[in-house]
Parts: sequence; structure tokens; C-alpha cells
Amino acid sequence: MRDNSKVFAIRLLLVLVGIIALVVIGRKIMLPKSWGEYGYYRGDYINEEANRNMKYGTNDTCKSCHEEVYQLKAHSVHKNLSCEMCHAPIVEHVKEGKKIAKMPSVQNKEQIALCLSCHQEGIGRPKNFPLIDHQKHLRDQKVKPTHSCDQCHTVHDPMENITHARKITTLKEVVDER
Amino acid sequence: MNVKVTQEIIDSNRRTFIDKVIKGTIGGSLMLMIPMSSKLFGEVLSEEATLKNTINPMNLKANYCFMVDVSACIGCGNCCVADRKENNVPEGQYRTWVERYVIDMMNQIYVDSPNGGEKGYANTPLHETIKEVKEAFFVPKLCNMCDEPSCTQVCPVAATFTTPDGFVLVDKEHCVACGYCIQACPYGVRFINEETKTADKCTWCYHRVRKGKLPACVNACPTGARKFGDLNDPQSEVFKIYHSASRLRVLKKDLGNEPQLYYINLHEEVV
Amino acid sequence: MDAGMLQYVFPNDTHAHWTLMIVIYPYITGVVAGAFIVSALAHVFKVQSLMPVAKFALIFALSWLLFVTAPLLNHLGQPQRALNMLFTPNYVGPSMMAGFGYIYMSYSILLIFEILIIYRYELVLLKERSNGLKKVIYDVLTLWTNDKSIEGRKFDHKVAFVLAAIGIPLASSLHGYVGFIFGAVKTVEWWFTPLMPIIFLLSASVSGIAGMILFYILIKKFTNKVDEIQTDTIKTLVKLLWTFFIFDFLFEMLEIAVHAYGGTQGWHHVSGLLSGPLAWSFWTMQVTTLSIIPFFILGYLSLVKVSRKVLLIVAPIVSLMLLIQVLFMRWNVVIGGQLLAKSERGFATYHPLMFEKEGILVTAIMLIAPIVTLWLLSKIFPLWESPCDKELLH
Repeated sequence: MRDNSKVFAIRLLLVLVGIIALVVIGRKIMLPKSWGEYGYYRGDYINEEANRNMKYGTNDTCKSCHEEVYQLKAHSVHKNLSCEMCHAPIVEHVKEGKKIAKMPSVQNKEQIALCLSCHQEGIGRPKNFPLIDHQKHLRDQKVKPTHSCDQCHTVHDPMENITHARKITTLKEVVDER
Repeated sequence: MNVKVTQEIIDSNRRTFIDKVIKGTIGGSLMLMIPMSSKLFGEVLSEEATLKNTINPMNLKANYCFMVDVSACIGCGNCCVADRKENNVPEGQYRTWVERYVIDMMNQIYVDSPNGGEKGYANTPLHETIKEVKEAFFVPKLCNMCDEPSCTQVCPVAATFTTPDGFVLVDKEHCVACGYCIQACPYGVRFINEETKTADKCTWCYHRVRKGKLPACVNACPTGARKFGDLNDPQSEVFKIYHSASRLRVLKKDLGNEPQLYYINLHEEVV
Repeated sequence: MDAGMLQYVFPNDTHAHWTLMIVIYPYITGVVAGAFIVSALAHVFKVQSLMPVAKFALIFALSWLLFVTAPLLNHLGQPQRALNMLFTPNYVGPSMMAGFGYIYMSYSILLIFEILIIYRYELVLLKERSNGLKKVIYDVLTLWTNDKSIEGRKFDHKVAFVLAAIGIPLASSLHGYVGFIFGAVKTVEWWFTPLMPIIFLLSASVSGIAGMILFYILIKKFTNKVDEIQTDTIKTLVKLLWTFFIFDFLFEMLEIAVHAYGGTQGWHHVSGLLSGPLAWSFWTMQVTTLSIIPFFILGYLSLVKVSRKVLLIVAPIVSLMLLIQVLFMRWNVVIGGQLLAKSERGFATYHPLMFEKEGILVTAIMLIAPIVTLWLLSKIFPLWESPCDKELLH
């Protein structure tokens, strides 16, 4: 090629075109397939995220095997509680329809702590929620300080025994009066 | 009439009996909360027990919103526990957290959130300088799912975006983890996940919602302080609250992000 | 009221996410933009006294330009995806950072092309005199051309002029853009001001010009060629530095003044920052020690006739002070903004460690690397005016 004054500038221009081509081709290759499917982002991610496995189910999940407890709880003051809140996420218990492990069911000190995590009196807790000072409550009810909560309050229906007892005593009083 | 007979009478009417007791005694507070059944999201699927859930198509007619009733929150931290497990959030990072606000007689405001409130507040002592408490309450925080999100605006690679059904998500396969979205988010809900090394935040459990379930924290909340639903569905609880006389507030309204997270009974001190 | 009592930050917001890397990124970019402005003054506006450093300015800019992305890549959680910025730039938002990728690329291409055009004739001459690897390098840099004709050199001149002219707005937008990245974040009161791009641009010019003065004199001293230093050039650079610095400092103070006078809720938070975590680095260092003192020294050098000996000692010292001033300014902006907790009740913390991934040592290496690169580049590109540069003028 004959050397002339503009060859360098022309070659430089070609380099520029090459760089632009590289970006354009790079983008073609690197652009995710589902880009722009719904908007300016990778559309597939929506399905990837939607498909992510849940760890917690709902109470209806538990119902299919534990109908009895479900019914008991569903008509108690604890009806709004999630079963998995006190036990554990369902994935730790059931896999593909089969039981893989026992659900934890806390007792004694752990149980007291669990109950008190909601029912302990504390600054900031709403007034219309059943709260107790644990030791005072045990003293007032004249039970041993070592009592665990479920000795009076069955956890799935905390007021079951209480109302029961109240009813009986009331009736007894009626009987006595007669 | 002996006791045994009485017992039989009670047992035969046990169901109605307990119902009456419940409605009569504590109906005023707890029972006001409408149980959030899966009715909201259509039928309960029979294969639920296997967790083999089908994804529902995107509900483009819905206008999902999240509501937090501050007056109902007891600061137990169950929502945070559930969230961490459901979404594999690394320790020390938070998709959601619960703050405690304490206002003393001098109108001094004390805010704390040890461990993001995850361990509850039952045994958390107050700041030592507080002499007398005037008012105290708990404020759960999570993604505000803004209609005008700052985070999606600043993301240089469009890895965070709003889905057609209105959720702001982060594509962790595309995110470069520059951290710009963390700077831009007014609510501090974003973080660089230590494990995935990408931006992360609360999704309102998009993966659960698409399967007809409530977000994990809403499911775990014992008092119904957290509510989720469709503002376009007149049957939904959020619709009823939205169209009632309840005081609704969003956080940092002045920034113009138009959050879809509403607070009920929120004090103006809350940022 | 005890501020410490009210301290509360959101749990994800306890520390700054943008580290020292993001402090030195605008710093390095700024030096590039500032040095380019000097070369443009010579090449476009024909400021004769700047001609002796016109080529040096370009190579100086290039040596820093090559390291603009280093701190960014080191900071990214997923550096292997960095090119996503070019492949899927978020123009929908639009994201200011996405635009930076393209502006940086365009500016890099422009600067390298400008250098290749301006040096072309000289490189062709050097190629003839060299062999081995050096010859190969020169062959590549001249794109395998050997033209030495006078028409060719006149054409180079025209192209260089056009490129430099395009380069001025491009260099300005490169750095103004960096300012915008911060200035557009409405959630951070300390950043959110339209003055931010202007302050960044002016401080960029300050750091670039100061860097040029410092290294012009240092290199000449270390190569035992002090006699070659042009007093005129230094004088012009000092006056230029003073002018840019006055505006830079003015706008820096103006931002605070307007903010303070407004006295909004946001200002209460910012004033706590300035009297607390930033008190030393902002008031003591950036404003007092490294702004007010250099302002008077520069004024003296610009307005009073000083001897060459004094000039050659004081000018590099005051330039170094301003280089550090700009570094402090970057720290105060980048880190300061992040210390403002989004809870509006206190401050986050940031204490860089010596040996962490984005720590002090890595930062120091990244700031020294451009200087080493400048030395390497000087082996290929003669930094100073060569006799052939003047031929064309006559």
C-alpha cells in the first residue's frame, strides 16, 4: 500500500469501528435470552424467584395430617397462630409427602420462654393483649414456681382447662347453694 | 345433679360453649383480627402437605400492598425468625426487623433494635437514662415496595426491577454488587448478602405469593400486626382497612417514593 | 440534649458500604480530567506557556486513566459481571452509573487516539531508531504506518485539534458525571445538591493541575534537568491552579452555607456530622489546613514576583497540599455521606483496616500504580517537547 498522509487516521478509524463492533457483538452474545420479555431486565428471573421452594407452609399444610389438633387450635384463642411458629418450618418435617423428622415440641423451661416471648409483660406491649408477670402469675394462681405453662394451659387451646374448671366450679357452687 | 352429669352436658355442647366463652371474654381485642385464610389466594391446594406447589400466573389485576398495625405488634420477633429461615438470610443481615420506640416524659425518643428485634423484647432492658415511660411501641420494618423506587432507578445493570405484578426484585444472577441501590434506598432495607455477594432485600415473599401463600412474616405474626393483600379485592382485609377511617401513613413520604407499605396507627416520630 | 443517647441506625446501615475504593475512584478520575484540561488549553486554546507540558499532560492523564476502573473492580461483589454495565446499561431508570461506563469508554478511546495522533510523527522517527520489542511496540502504536510527510503532520494537527476540542466537554462530563452519581442520591442529605457535579469538576481540575505541577518539577529534579523547567509554565500553572481552586473552595463553602442557612431537618443531621465524625477531616484538614493556607500561598505566588528558586520549592509543596485537600474532600463526601444514618438518629461508622481487601494498603498501591505507569509510559512516549514539535510552527 502506498504510504500517504491519511493512512494512519483511517486505520485509527477502523480501530474505532472495531471497538464499537466488539461492544455490539458482545452485547448480542452476552445479553440474557429472556432480556426484555417483560421489561428492561432478565425476564426469567421472575420465574426463578417464583419457583424458589418455600420453607414454611401454612396451617392448612399441617391440617392434612393433624386434623384433630388443627380443629382444637382453630377454635381456640390461639387460632391465629402459625403452627410452625412454635414448632419448626414444615420443610424440616415433611419432604415429598413423607415425614423425614419429628417436629420439635418444646417442654419445661424452653416452653416457658416460648410462651413468654409473647405473653411476658413488657414496655411497649399493647394493653389489650393477655400479658403476665410470670412469677407473679404463678404466685397469684397459687401454683409451684416450677410449673410449666402447659400444666394449666394446654398449648393448642390455652383456655380449655380454665374455662372447663370455671364452668365446673360455677356449677358446683350452684349445686351447693341448692 | 352430680358432677358427672354436669360434665356430660358440658362435653355435649363443648363447641358452642367454648365459642360463647371466646366471643364473650376476649372478643374485643384478639378476635377483631380477621383470620387471614388462604381464601385470599383461591383454593387451598390438596398437594400442600407435600410442599409441591404450583405457581399461579402473575395476577396483573392485583394491587398488592402490605400493612403493619403498629398498635398490634407485641415485639415478639417471630416474623424476623421466620423471615431469616424462609429466605436464608445470613446472620447479622436483615430483610426485616422490628424497632422499639420509647418516649419518656421529657419527650425524648429512644429507639433500639438489638439483633433486629429477632430475639424479641421481653428481656431487653430499656436505656438506663429512661426514668419514666410516656409511650412505647414496636415498629416492624421491611421493603416498602415503592411505586417509584430509587433502587431500580440507580441500578446500572437493570438487575433490580419492578415485576409486572408490582414487586421489586433483585436478579442475583445479574447484579454486579456495586452497592448503589443500598445508597439510594431511603429505608435501609438493602444489603450486600455475605453469601451470594449480591444485593439482597425483602421480596414480600414473592415466591410464596405466587403460590397463593402469605409472606412468611405475615404467616408467623401471632397478632395480625402484619397484613398482606390486594387493594383491588373488596373482600380483602387491606381493602377494608384502606377504605376505613384508620390512620394510614407511609414512611418518608416527602421523598416521593410512594411506598406500598402502609402503617396503621403510626406515630409521627417514626422514621 | 445528648446526641449519643438518640443514636440509632438501621441494622443493615451500621457501616459505610462504599469504602476507600470509592474514595479514590473519583480522585483518580479527577486527576485525569484535570490533566486533560491543561493539555486542551495548550492544544485548543494555544496557550503558549503551557506548550512545554502539553504532551506530558496527556501521558499523565493516561497513566491515571488506566487505573480508574481498578478500585471499582476491586469493590464490586461480582467483578466478573462488570461488562454488564456496557451490555445492559440501565437507561430506563436511568441509572447515572450506567452512563458512566459509556462515557468512560468514549473518553478513554478519545484520549488514547489523541495521544497516538499527537505522537505519531515522533513515534515513526523513534521506530526507525529502535529495534526488538520496542520496534514492535512502536509498530503497533503507529498502526504499521511510516508516513513522515509534512501534509501528514498538518493533518495530524487538525485531527488532534478536533479531538481535543471534543475532549473538553467529554472530560468535563466524565467528571461532572461522577459528581452526579453522588449529587443525584436524594436519600443522602450531604450529597443531594446540584452543586455536587460542579464541585467535583472544579476539584478535579485542581487535583489534575496540582499533580502536573508536582510531577513536572519532581521528574525534572530526579532526572537532574532542573534547568529545563520553564518558569513561565510553572507560573501559568500556578495561576490556573489558584483560579480553579478559588472557585472550587467557593462552591464547597457555598454548599454548606446555603444548607446551614436553610436550617432544614436534614441540615441538623448534617451539622451533627460536621461537628462529630467529620470535624477533624472536614474543618481541620480540608477547610483550614489544606484550603485556607494554600489559598494564601497560591495567591502570593500568583500575584507577587517570586524568585525562581522559591517558586520551584513552594509550588510543589502547595500542589501536594492541594492534592491531599482533594483526597480529603473525596473522603468527606463519599464516607461522610454514608455516615449519615438513614434512621436520621445518629451516624454509621467506617474504619478502614490496613490489610483488608479494600483497605489502606490496597488503596496506597492503587495511588502509586499510576506513577509507576507514568514512568513505564515515559519509556515509550517522550514526555517533553521534542525539537520536531516546533518545526511545524515555522
